[in-house]
Amino acid sequence: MPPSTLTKRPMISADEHASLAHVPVGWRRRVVAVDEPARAELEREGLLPGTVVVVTSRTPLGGPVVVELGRARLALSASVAAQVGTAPYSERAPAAVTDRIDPS
Amino acid sequence: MASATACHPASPGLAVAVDNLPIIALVGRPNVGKSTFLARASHRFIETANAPGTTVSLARLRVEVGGEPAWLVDLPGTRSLDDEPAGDSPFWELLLQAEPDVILVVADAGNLARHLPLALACRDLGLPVVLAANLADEAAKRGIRVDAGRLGQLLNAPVHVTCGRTGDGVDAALRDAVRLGNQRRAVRAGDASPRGSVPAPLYGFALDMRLRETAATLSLEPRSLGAAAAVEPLQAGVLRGAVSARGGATLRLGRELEPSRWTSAAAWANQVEIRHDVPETLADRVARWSTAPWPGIPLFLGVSIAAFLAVIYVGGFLAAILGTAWAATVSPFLAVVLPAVMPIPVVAAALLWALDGGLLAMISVGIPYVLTFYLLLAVLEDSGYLTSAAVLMDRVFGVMGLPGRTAIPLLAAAGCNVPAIYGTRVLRTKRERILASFLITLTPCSARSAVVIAALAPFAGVGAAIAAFGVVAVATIGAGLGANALIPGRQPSLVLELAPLRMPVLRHVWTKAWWRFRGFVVTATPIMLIGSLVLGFIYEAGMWQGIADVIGPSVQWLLGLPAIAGVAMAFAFLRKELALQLLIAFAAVQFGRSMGLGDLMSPPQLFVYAVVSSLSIPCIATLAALRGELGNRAAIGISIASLALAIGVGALLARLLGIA
Repeated sequence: MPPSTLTKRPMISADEHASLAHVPVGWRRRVVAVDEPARAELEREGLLPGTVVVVTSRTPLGGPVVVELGRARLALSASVAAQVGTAPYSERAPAAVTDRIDPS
Repeated sequence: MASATACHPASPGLAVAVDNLPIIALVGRPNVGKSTFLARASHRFIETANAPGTTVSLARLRVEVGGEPAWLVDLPGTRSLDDEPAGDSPFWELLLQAEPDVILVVADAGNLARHLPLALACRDLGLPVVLAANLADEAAKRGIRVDAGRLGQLLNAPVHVTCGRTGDGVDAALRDAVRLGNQRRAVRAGDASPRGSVPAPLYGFALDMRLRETAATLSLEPRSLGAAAAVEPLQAGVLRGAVSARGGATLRLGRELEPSRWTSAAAWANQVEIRHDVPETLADRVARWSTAPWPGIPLFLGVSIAAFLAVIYVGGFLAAILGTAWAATVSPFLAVVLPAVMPIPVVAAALLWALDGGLLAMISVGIPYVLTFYLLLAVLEDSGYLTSAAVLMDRVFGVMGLPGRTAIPLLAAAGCNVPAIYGTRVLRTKRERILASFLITLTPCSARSAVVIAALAPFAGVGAAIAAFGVVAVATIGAGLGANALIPGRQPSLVLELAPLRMPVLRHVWTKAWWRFRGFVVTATPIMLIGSLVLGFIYEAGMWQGIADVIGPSVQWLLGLPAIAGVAMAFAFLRKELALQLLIAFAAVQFGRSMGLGDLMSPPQLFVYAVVSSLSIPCIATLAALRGELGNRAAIGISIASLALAIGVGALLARLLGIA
């Protein structure tokens, strides 16, 4: 029997692409795709392909997922989270961060 | 209070500035402290909550900075220009309706990467922009300072670091806005030539070409009169000069421009933020905990129970004091004066019902329960906790088509339905508000709970009382599921930014609660008075016996109850506590001797009576609240639905218990 039918939320391995609905709490991931119809709504919240999110908590019984998005926290219902494709986060900095000025 | 110069609402389409003052539009994302900023800027505290389902009113305030007057237009918090914060029309329509000369964008100094995209979108409109990097105090606590000069260069607009709570920088930002607004008015009037620099282009070549094409299309005058009548709002805005043609094009292509705005915003934020490592603030830590199952759920239960108890006990305590004071002073006075003024005894007695009963009901429901709950709700809203509760409860209420934030008003309904209905303003769509209000009217308030307990506990046992509450709960949840299936529309999936937890500003809390309370008094008092008068007249004129004869057979057949029980339930419309007192009074008149409830009805009959009077038509104050908040149609619909539910459940119970 494949593992996904045994548990409601199959564990994913760290190097796998997966929707936000399946990412365990505490993981940092890079958003690679946002599907319609949630796209416009998520764009307004700044959740676009390329952004980095950290899953901070999940509500029991398939409730919303809370992610950290920069300094903001965003709650997404499970159905919306399933529309957000994520890839493993790599330390390679995205273009926007390379020209950061170090305050020290 | 405000209202002397607050124009509520500015009629749409009307040229707002008849007095040639610059109009400053206040734009910002939700929870950026915009209303505190507004209060500082105008030196007034006003209630600016935007209740969905009502026409959005643009609060317009006259301000004066350094001797220069201007209009300040407050707009609802929005996440982008095409967002729909008020439910039906996109934000930019509201913005253009205000005909601003300058846009004052309020951003979070502690999270510019998130707030600059909206500022960029506003700048794209071709209107002058001033940026207020607000919440500087909270940003400092998180170790973030903003280099306003550098940001001003990048944005090509004045930038001020502000703090709404202390008022720092607010006047300076406003002064710049007034200056730019005056400049634009002079240019438009032809008294000055346009000045200033053009910001560096943000978007690539391909997008820029499309913007030009769109701008050209938008600036074409419609050919015929027929077409002129059908000009869509965006083109109308361009043609009357509320927004530049290119600005209009950036609105139309907004979704394609958004990714570039977010990328630039992130890069700029990195350049202008000066960061220090500081330990996470307690508020941030609690905010993070509050949505995790542990300790979030126990915390939520604690807050809910505290809210419930506060409404019951603080409300009950105040109600007792006010009721006693009323009985000691006003009641005896009215009892003497009214018969003296009004020679017809029946009318005098009816007037006594209206003035003594009706006003007392207002005072003993209104001030204690309604005001107490409003204060509590305002604290929960302004502290940011309500969004955490919304996340935790989203799944549970989602089954009934409601968002998680329904939890708090619904809980308050167990104290009193009236404030709970006003509390549904925290919901976004009218559908949600109707569904939630329906559930609220079915939730037994403290008065109805008292009826259930007093009718059942002494004569049928405590177990029966608990069973009755169980029946009411099952009927309520069933009705919620049914209403969700029947009312068209669906509950949108949750995408919610969690507000940071912060200490509420007391003056805001008070103003918010006070304006809502005022709304309650204004809508409920006339209905309460007239309702009491009519019922009082029916009672005093002895017409209730006629009513008993008419509805008696059906009450007997459907519910297996004596006729006067039906009349008592109908009269309980005035105040639910009356359901028992009136029944005993009627019995005394009809049978010529005072009887206990136990003599009048058997335990199964009492059970049916308790359940039906708990579920049936909301009381008159609730009805007034429904009407004021949701309109006549929804109020009547909800009343009929609850009456039908009550009769249906009652008839079923009567058959199961073998009394009908």
